[in-house]
Amino acid sequence: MASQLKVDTITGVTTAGSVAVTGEGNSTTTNLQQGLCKHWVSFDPLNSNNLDDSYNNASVTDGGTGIFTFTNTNNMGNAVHAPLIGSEIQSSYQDSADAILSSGRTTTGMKSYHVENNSATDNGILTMHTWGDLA
Amino acid sequence: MTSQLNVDTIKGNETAGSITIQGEGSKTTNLQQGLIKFWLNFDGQSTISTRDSLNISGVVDDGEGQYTPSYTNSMGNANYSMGVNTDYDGVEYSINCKIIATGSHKIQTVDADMSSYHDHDIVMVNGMGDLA
Repeated sequence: MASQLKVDTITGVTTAGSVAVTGEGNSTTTNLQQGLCKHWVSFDPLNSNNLDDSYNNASVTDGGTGIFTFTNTNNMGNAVHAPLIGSEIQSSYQDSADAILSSGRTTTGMKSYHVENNSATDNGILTMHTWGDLA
Repeated sequence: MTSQLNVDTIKGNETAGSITIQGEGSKTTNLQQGLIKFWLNFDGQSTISTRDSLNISGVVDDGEGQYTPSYTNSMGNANYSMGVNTDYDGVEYSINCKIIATGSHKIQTVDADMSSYHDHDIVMVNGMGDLA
């Protein structure tokens, strides 16, 4: 018979921030906390820097053309978290790229950079997903 | 002593779709907001075929380099956050998502000078956001 758990908070017993979950293959386990995305945004620089939707994002600061700093509500535990970034390109697909600035990955957030045709450009919808340890 | 909970379904008690998870440090995070809502790896060349996926009901071939994956369970709004990528087959291409709706999204793979669309062997996409 299928069982259902109704609960508001899950905390590890041995280690509060570590809960093992059996994987899809029914043999090995993965980690609940490590598998959760800790921060995500859907952000629109061309629409008055509107934050369409987000999780764990307190604010966005415009750092100039193509540069934005995203500040977490709850900080990350270290500065080596893994943000993945992408965007809707506006002017040209040639030589376009999205990146996290090398100095822009901190415990409080991250700084994004978008370039098209070798020039910083405000992109269309910018999306970012971050995995790592919460503080 | 290590404890083990055997359960098939987890639901919030006060709010069905919201469960707090103790994070790695002192802060908490949210289970539902942290879970990826769909992911997909498909063959975008010739006959479209899904290699593996979560919450994807099918992928429509809209022509060379253009695809529309649909969701089994729709998203709650069209403001969710997506990531896309393809394999590199020797030529520079850009891939983007266009027309994001609650039940589907459109992927386009365009070559570097924007002259044409191009099919790819490996197309990957994922999404974070609110389920309906």
